[in-house]
Amino acid sequence: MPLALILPLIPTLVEFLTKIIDAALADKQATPEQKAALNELAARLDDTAAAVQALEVREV
Amino acid sequence: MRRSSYGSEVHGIVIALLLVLVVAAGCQSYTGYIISGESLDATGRAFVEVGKTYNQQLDAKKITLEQYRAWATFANKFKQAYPPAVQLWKSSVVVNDAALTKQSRAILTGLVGELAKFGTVVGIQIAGGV
Repeated sequence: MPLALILPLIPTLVEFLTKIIDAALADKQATPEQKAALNELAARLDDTAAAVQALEVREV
Repeated sequence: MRRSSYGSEVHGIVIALLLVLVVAAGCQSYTGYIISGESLDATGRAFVEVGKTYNQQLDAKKITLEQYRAWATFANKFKQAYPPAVQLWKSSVVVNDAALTKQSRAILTGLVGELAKFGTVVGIQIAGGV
């Protein structure tokens, strides 16, 4: 495709991609409540990991 | 001459957009972290439940020594794999890197299938996976 045909489309393409990226990044930035939930989950995982390690595995 | 200048600008824009898309794709959504973290947690808790049941059924002589030995071999393997998987998940949240979450899942994926098989021996159904 000739370059002259592509160039006029670039601003529209950039705007379109920018909107997609903004939407994607907005979804990926956690709110304070979401961060708190992730911290709570991380703490729970620590507890579970400790329980996994504490599980008695007998030698029979 | 002018044409090649436009060409390099176009290439520059395309490369910049691709880089942004790659970075955005490398991040993971909040929901993705919650799902992978809850999965990891559920797997760990299921392992503990299955392990306690094996111990109880060994005491009650409801399973054979061979069955318990097979479990013990797997259990020791799981105990080694679980902490790094948790650490990878936590790191992936801190640096917002989906690739680390995938590594965390990869560590446990094979073990979850085995855990489910061991669970059925002692009457515990394990649904889902990592």
